[in-house]
Amino acid sequence: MGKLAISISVLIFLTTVGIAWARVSGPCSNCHTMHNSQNGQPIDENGPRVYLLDPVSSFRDACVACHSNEGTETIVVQGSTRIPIVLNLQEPTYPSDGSSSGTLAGGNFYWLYANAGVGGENQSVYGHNVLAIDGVPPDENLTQAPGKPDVASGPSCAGCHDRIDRCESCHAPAHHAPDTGPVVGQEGGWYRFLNSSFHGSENTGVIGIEDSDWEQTVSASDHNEYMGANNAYGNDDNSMSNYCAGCHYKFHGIPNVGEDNHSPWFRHPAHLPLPDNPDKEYYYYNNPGGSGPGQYNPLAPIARDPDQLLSMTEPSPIVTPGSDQVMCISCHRPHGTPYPDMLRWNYLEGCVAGQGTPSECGCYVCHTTKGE
Amino acid sequence: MKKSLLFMLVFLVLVTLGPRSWARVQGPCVDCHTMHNSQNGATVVANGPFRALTKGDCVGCHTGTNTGSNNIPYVMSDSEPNYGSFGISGNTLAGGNFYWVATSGGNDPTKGHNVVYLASEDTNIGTTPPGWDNSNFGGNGLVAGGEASWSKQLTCAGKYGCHGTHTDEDDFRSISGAHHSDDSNLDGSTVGKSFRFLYGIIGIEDSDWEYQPTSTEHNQYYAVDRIDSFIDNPANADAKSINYLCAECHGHFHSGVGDTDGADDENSTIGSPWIRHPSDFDMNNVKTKEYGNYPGPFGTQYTYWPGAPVGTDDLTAGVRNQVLQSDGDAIVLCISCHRAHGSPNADLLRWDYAECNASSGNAGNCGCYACHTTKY
Repeated sequence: MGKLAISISVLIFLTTVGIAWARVSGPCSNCHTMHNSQNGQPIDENGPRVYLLDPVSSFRDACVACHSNEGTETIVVQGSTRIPIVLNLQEPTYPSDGSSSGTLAGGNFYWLYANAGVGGENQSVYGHNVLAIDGVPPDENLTQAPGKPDVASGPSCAGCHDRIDRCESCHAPAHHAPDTGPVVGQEGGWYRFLNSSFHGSENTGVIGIEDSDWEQTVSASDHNEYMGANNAYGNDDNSMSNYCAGCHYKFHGIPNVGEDNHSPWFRHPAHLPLPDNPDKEYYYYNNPGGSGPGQYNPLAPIARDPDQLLSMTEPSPIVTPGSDQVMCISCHRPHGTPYPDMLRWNYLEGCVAGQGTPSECGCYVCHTTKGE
Repeated sequence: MKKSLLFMLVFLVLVTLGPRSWARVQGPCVDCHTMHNSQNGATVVANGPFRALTKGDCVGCHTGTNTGSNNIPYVMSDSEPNYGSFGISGNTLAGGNFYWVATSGGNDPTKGHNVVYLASEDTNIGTTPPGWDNSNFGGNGLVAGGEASWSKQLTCAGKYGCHGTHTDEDDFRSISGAHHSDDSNLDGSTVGKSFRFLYGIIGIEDSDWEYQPTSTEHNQYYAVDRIDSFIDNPANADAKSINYLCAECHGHFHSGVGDTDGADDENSTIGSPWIRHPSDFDMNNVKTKEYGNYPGPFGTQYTYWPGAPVGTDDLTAGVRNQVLQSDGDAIVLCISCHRAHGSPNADLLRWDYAECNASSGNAGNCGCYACHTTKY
């Protein structure tokens, strides 16, 4: 009876908290084919593919083929294996409403792929132009990553730093790594496999807590947790923001944000904590007009202080100024969104000073006195 | 005199106990032959007489139940054999058993090679093997004469078969004399001097054809590391390796130039270069990864596990009971996963692939985990 109670408790725990399930489970044949041959016929007309993969769709690139879906479902269930979808060919729900079509945390390439974003902008503004996606053109506006570090100038760098040739430009796949967490780092293949496939090191990989359904269902207590930075200079430190700095380095660091790292900012800061100062509006994160910080808002997420994150056992709804940091993906979704610059909200039409709420303009989650 | 006697005794003991090959036929002639197919006025075997005065054709002679002491290896059974989980604890031999594919047995074309005498043409595949490469892998003679598509069904031996030479269409002629050859030195020069009469192939033959094999009693397969030798060029593949035998019919699964041919994409600059499961790959190359824990859940690290065998590029060291000890001693084979004759499992696999569940915490009966030791 005692064991039964423990088992039930464990089940409840696992289903209620966002503990990681990213390590692939289920029959090997759900994802792999040994020879791309069955009954004398190829299993996959576009195969055989790397990693011996047998994808769920017909895109030529194996990563894209596995993580895309012709419909709107953003998690595809293949047998007992759950596959997060980052490219839907029909428009997913944005932001996620918790339904099966809810856009996942990293966003979705749909708006880039279908050129269907808000505002009639050109196609490339709605996501990262991953050229491995059949039909995605080179970026119409960019010839290199904006803010590219000078050291990434050799010909062998171009596939990631001047353009994005493949998914592995940002991810180093490790689907079978033991990422039971709760904090996922090197042993678990890094948070969401975020490490350089070409020059990854123990410092470049990202550390974090992986939400079990990739934030399809999401709330103040049900979400990813991101590693904050331990330096303001864009140097590798396992943080989410400084991983972005790998390609957008010049958007970080002293020469670009002001010598003493405070206002007036030359560029919007990342990797710095919300001021622990009740006189500042940022202190009232997600609680405009309130008497203290509000709860974690997954529309404009914050990163945790590195020391704090490493000791966390589950996602937390609590936000602590002076510790929790603004990061690049507080505002952006790396795969794409319906909005230009792959922003999390409609900055061009939804953010008008003196008007609107944080749910309409995510800027107001931190800039709590700027909305209505 | 005493020294001579002692020497003789030691020699006899070594010969008796050692893992020496016994493929050369032994035992009463009458076990296999009948001079006139006539005894007491009646025929000895139905449908006879057979060539070479045998009591049957290939299937006829090699049908029976293995006991561990039988002189003839049985690769076909009249009743379902005891395979066990991996084919190493019951009464099937190294090559498996045709029972499950045979018309008179399981009659399932996915569970064995559809040899003409046992089964009808494969309803899924036809007569041409999947991965058939009719221009390469002719180092031991091109199978099927290099036909673009096979005009005839698979046989045990000969032009359309696995055993014997590939010049004669006739099974008997292609292995003629092999059973009584001196096979003390398997150099592949003749059918009789080839591993299991697989012409050109070398190896060390287990004395009881791997009836309930162990880490110390098993066939020792010869293979080469593709990294050291042929990479993607079939012309450089070693025609003496057991994998080459399989490639003679399934060459496109083995090696080839290009992004879609063979086992690896040589142009891959990232991630896994494999596009098909590799063979002829030495796991010593990746010993620091999970493969260095072979055989994973099925034994002590580095112990040879006959459930998922690996080959070696050096037969002079004899039968290995420890692998991953030096380069070239843990080479992935086609038959690491498959049984050439047949098994109870789809794709004539050694285990039931459908039972292979990633991250289940239980290796179960999935032999994949012998090498992929972190995947369960």
